[in-house]
Amino acid sequence: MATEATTVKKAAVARKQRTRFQETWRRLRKNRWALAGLTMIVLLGLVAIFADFIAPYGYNEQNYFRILEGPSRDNFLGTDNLGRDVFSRIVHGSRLSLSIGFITTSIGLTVGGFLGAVAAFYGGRVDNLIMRFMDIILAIPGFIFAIALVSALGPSLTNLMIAVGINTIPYFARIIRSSVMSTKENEFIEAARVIGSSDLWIIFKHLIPNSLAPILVQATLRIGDTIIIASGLSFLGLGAQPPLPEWGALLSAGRGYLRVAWWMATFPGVAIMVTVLAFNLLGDGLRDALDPRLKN
Amino acid sequence: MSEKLLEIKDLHVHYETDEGTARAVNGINLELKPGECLGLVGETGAGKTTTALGILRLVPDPPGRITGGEILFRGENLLNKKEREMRRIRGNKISMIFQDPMTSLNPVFSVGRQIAENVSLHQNVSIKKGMSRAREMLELVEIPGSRVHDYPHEFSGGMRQRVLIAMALACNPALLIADEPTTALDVTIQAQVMEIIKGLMKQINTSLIMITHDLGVVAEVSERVAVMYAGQLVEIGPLRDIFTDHKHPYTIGLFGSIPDIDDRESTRLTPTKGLMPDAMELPEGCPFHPRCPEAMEKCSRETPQSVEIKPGHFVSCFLFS
Amino acid sequence: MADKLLEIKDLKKYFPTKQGMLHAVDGVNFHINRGETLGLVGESGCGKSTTGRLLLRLLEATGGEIIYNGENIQKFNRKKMKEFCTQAQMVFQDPFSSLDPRMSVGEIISEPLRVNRTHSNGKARKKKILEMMEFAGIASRLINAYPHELDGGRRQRVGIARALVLNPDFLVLDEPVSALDVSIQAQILNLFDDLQEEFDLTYLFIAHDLSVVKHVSDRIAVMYMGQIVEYAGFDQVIYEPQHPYTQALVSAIPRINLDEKRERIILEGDVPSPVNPEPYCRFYGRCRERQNFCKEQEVFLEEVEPGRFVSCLLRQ
Repeated sequence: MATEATTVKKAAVARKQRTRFQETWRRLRKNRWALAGLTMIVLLGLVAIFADFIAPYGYNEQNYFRILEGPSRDNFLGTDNLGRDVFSRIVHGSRLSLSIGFITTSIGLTVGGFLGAVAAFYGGRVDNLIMRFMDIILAIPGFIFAIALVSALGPSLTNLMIAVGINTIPYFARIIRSSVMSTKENEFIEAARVIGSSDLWIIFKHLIPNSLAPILVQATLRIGDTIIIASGLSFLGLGAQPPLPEWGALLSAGRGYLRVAWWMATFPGVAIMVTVLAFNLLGDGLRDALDPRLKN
Repeated sequence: MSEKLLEIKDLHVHYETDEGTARAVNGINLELKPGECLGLVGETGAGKTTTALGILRLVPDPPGRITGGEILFRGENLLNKKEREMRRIRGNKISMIFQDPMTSLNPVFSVGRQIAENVSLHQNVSIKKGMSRAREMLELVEIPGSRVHDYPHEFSGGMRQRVLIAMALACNPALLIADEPTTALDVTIQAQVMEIIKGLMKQINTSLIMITHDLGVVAEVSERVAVMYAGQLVEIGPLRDIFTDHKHPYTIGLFGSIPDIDDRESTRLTPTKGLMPDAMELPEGCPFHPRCPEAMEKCSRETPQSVEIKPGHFVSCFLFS
Repeated sequence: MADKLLEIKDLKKYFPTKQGMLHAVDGVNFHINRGETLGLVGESGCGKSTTGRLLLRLLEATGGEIIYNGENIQKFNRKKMKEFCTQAQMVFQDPFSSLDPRMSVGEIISEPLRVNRTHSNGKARKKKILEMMEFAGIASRLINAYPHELDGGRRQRVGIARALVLNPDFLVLDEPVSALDVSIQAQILNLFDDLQEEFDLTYLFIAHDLSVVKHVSDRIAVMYMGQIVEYAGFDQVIYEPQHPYTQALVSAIPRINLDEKRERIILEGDVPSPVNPEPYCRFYGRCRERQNFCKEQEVFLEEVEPGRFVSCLLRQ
């Protein structure tokens, strides 16, 4: 009914000669919550990068004269059972938690993305094989799967990342599969075939770049999730080993002292919450900004 | 004069977007007599659909807005009506059929019920009476009345468009606006539908505004033809004048673009060069002057007025004033 | 004798569906001479686009032969197929979905060069792109523009430049103007005409509208439900159609000439389903002249007069 209105709009977009990135950014900027999320993530990133300058103490700097002290001017988030500064440990820990988030998500994204794209592109038996395998991974509760894997490989940060990474593969595979399936219907895929392009060329040059929008959203949301799972595993002692100040490990260590030193567990918990919230806000905002149906 | 059914005076419709104002319709003047068939021709973005939506006050707002003019329907200005009053006019006294017959019908109700509801809503009759009217209407568009209980997906594209015509005419509207009713159909199906429209127009005393980009379709049903370009009417006149003696340089280019199957000699088309301007960046003066092969210096400064060059044949071009 | 560039023999393409075999293309024969244009005309779902895709092996045929330059392209291996791609290209219907939205005009036009590793030198490649853009009538300043910044006509020109960049001999034009406005349509039709002369091209022009192919076609094949019903010179098909379906199709074209009086043939009903068709004339159910014997035997395309092939028992 409003065909003319939409052509007018299309013309308007064309006139300003914006790239899609600029267009997305313009719409993201209008979303206050997404912007707040983005700001928090940028701040967290800066904290992680400049941790050595921000933290007043080293992450394993023990002071036996100040054990389990509450927030004060010297240790404004208090100290732990070995007299370490909780604030400094959280600041150093941001490096670990954020890199866990990014690395595990990258594992899921690359492996899952490739599998999903291949499944969608070839369809039929290949699709069936890959996607049923993904279903099997999904059928095992993620947390238990990670516990089993880490127990088998031995608890360490690397194994933790592998375990959580594998866990996220099916989510990416599914998203990318459905995204590629709809991209595949476009005539430009046939147009690429007509000039003699190989399958890999089509997948990497056409299908994946055009399916990136939902992947970006999913990746952002997944980072938050993986941080939570990783923290949970570390909480159970299956991830980062002492004295590494991974947030989940901090939370776990603080658990024993909840009655005498509430700050030991509370502040790492808040850090996890804020980070996950930030990624979720940004992810939701990106989803709206990238959705062409919500153009405004 | 009382014999005018519809009179549009200096209608302006704008779309306000982030990027600026798109002037979709800029000062249209149009009259329609009862029972008359007018073809409204133009290319994508010329403002045809916006004009039609303007008559029904259905321009999506925001971003669209009717910024000026009058639309007199039986002497009453539709632009001053309340929304509630407009609802009583739409689908009742003025009906519209759209291009896409697939999305214009509700898939969960039978076609008979959809027609009947429209009838009972506007004419205060029971659904049962409405159903018998629906049956009658379907037969008018050559669909067996026994199919009133069928659902839209059980009909083919051409039949769905006929169902929509039946629905639009069920309340005996004084005016039917058809927006590209056959564009989505195949040629032989289009011929079926056109035949039905032509037949109906002879039987009932409804005026028709046929919006289309296809001059062949216009030739079949219209008595008068209006040619639109960039939100303005550039030429309007009786069918024969427009088809055999078109004067406006845009109309000449438009006819030069169409392969005439009956013309065995010509080997090449002669379209106007260039593109229609963006509704946001309309040129000063005559909107056609940047593409016009006959453009004069004056054309880029002033907008030409409509001039009557023959009885009933108006052209908006400085070549004739 | 004219030089046949392409010949297809008994081409078939069936798609399995839940209801049975869909006979999209069912025993199609035709040839195209070097330098000529064959118009392939029919209504939606008649198999004309599928035929075009089979010719370039975008789809694999269920049966039949496709002979290009004397060789059966279905027997081509990967290397030969790549070579064939440089000779036969396609222009698509939808100027909106046929260009990758993430590539600039320059990238879209040069992709065939990159894929086929010709013009590896960046400068030579750019020169070639600009040359093609000029031929297709695209301003050189648009080389870095993205498809969404262009209107339908310009996008179609980009698609044409891309199809021509490998210097092909043969182009399949799949309804290349049906999504465009009339004046743009006319501009593009004229462009095809010019390019054919300039590059000595051979076209298969697929269209649903007979009038569109008027200025470009030498001969026309009319398709109905996966089969060719009439195949002859342009004038023969338009001015003296013989098959009852062609007659209806020609009479249904909306005319702009008010003085040309003609009888319009209105066909009953709709195109029947191409799934598991009956083994007799596909047009039987809608034909005005159908006879009982039409239902009793299969009908094939036969030459009824020099250069005119008709698939109708009444005319043979």
